[in-house]
Amino acid sequence: MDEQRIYELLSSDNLDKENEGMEMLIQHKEYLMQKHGRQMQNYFDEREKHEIFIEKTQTLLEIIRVDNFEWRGKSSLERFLFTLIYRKIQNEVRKKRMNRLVEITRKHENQTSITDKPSSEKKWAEISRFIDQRLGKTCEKVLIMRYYEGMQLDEIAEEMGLKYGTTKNNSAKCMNKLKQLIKENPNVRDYFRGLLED
Amino acid sequence: MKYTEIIDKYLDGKMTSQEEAAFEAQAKTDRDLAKEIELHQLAIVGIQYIQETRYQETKVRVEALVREVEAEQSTHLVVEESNNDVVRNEPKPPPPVIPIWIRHKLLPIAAMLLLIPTIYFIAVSYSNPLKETSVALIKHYEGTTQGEDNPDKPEKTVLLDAIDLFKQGKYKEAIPVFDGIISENVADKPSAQILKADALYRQGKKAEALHVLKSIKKEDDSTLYENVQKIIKKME
Repeated sequence: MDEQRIYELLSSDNLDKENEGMEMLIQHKEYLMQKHGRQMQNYFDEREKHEIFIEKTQTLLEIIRVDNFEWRGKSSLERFLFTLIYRKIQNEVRKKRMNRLVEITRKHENQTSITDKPSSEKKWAEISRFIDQRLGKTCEKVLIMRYYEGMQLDEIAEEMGLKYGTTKNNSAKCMNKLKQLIKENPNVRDYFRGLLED
Repeated sequence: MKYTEIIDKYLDGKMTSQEEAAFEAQAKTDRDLAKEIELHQLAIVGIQYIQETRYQETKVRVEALVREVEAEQSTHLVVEESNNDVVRNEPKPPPPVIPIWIRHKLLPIAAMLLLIPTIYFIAVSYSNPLKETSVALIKHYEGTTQGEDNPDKPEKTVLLDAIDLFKQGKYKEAIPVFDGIISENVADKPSAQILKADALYRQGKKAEALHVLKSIKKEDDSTLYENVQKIIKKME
């Protein structure tokens, strides 16, 4: 794969060249996706694999467009795209496994009683402010990396300059703190349940 | 091991098959665990929503400031041109710069944006899922009809008329023109369908926009079709 050529095309500010670069990337789809072998085989059909690949190549293009990608020589584009796809896969796998788990527990009482749906921006602003204040910046950062960006604990540890064990403890503590907030505050709980229904 | 760590271990696929089976069996019967699983799910949904909302808010603020900067720059340009009319022999002044107050307002927001990891800088799409495709199509048609090797074709002119109306925000007037192209011009049909859908979407007619998008056929344009399927998924 001629990475440098692809990078030049994608960063050209010219639609035709961008398209050419995207086509070149797409030609290497199988090569780029086979690196995610086992998880891909177990959890995704061909259509889903294709969608993930297309979505992340478009993300890559947008990141290059806003100059948020730094070309660092051979393999940098491939590694970056690998990370984009890897994290997407992690998040999607977790989502699929969570759905399976929720399905298993569905027979329990009080699991699907939606009492409120996201209604107003004002209400969200109150909830968001409440969580900000109670959760704290560090916890929020850890939880965003773990559950929004799909980063693994070792990646978070590296990012935050902490030991793996500390990061693991922090992540669990922060998650417990958020869960406690949800448990103790019906407004927050109902709002988040409403998000699930949307 | 506490529930949070166990659930995460399950979600990460890091349990052995025996552990996994035992955990799923416990989830079926243990009410406390079931409640924890629900809380875990709500916490994840919540944290994702917080971050996505924050991203959208920041993006709107930055876009508004960029518009301010552009407006400010065009004011400078007008002044510059009128000055040039009067004193033509003087050396050309340097290009307009972004006023300091705007730069100061932009910097903290730019810094905030940089804090948002690059991976999700764009991953959360624009609020209008059709926007990017429409912009690309418009660029394409405006570019191809202006090229020397692309003689004006009547169909393209009609499409460009519709695009002009669309760009002026005259969606109601653009839609019948798109309809004409959809029924008469096979080559531009899928593009006109997408732009019509966008025009409907911008008027708040999401269901109608979806209907138009779903009527696009793979055999008409397989590349656009793939793109449209993704847009439909985002809209549903």
